[in-house]
Amino acid sequence: MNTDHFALTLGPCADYEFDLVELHEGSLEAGRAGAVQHHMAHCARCRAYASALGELDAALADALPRPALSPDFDARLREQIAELTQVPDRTAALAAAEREHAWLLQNLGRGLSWRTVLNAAALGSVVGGVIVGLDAVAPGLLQSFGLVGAGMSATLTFSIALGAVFAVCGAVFARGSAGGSLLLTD
Amino acid sequence: MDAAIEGHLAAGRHARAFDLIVPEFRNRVFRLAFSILKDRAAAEDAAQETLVRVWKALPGFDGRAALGTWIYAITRNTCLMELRKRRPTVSFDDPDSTEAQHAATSIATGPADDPERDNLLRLLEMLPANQQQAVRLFYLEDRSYDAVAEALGMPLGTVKNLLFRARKRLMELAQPEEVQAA
Repeated sequence: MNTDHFALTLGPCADYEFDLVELHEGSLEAGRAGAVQHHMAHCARCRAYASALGELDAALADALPRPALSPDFDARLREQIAELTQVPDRTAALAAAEREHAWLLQNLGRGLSWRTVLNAAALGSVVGGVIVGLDAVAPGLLQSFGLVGAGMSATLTFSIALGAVFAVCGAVFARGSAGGSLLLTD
Repeated sequence: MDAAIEGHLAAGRHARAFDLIVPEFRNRVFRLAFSILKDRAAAEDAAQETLVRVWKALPGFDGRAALGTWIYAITRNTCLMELRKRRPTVSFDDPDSTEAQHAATSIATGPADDPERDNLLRLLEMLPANQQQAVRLFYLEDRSYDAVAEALGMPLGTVKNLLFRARKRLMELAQPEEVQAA
């Protein structure tokens, strides 16, 4: 800096200190600016201060970096925003995956509800009871229709009937029409 | 606030408003972030994060504050979080704190190829953090006190005072040692 350092050490006149800054920046009102310039013509301290102020201003403007944004700034921002806006699609994909999982569970036979099992048991009991009853009242009747083999007991007949009902019910409901109480929850 | 942005916001067209906000504010947000973080890459990341936050929060913007004031506040908070990540002890509530100044001086300021320039930047690092920030932003904003005041969320007089004290101190520090001792 080419400033008069000794005069600068003394500092500017207190009454002109702010005015010198505004004069340098060109924001000082015209009338006041004239008065300050007149004062500076006779004051080495204020001249030194104004000179140093100008040099410092130029040096700072030159020294301080003025970086610019990368050319891909907008593209990267758009990518981030796009990721945020795709959240609903992700939710839909997750729901679809859960439905697929539930379908697989049902088709593996895990989709039977307790209601289905109880209905099958009740139906089997009724059918079995009719068979046992007929066998007790008319032992040869079922054999005459060819429904029970010769020499088979009523208990064995009942068991076969019950098993057949369960097998049919299981096959029907395992195809995916069962209640769904064992499905995935939300 | 730009009338078009205001119109879109009033009509709930937040995506369209955001499309206008980005070109209007991205560079200002970046310059403010750079004045705080003093690192180009970090400032750009902070600018990205700020605008993403703006996009998320835009539906909740009620217009009680000016849009620029609101965006600058988000920018300053984003940068504050970044500074805290770097140095957990940094307190932006007290920009003059020793920790804040140490953190500031630890951040790179640019290539070191001009001794006078390097010396001036070194002197600048000796100022309180809030004065440094005001000086950096003042020159980034083409010497606009109004722009600095809006970005920092400070009254115009406070910004002028900060810059006045910063330049006075820099002139004192720039004097040769023998003159300082006289």
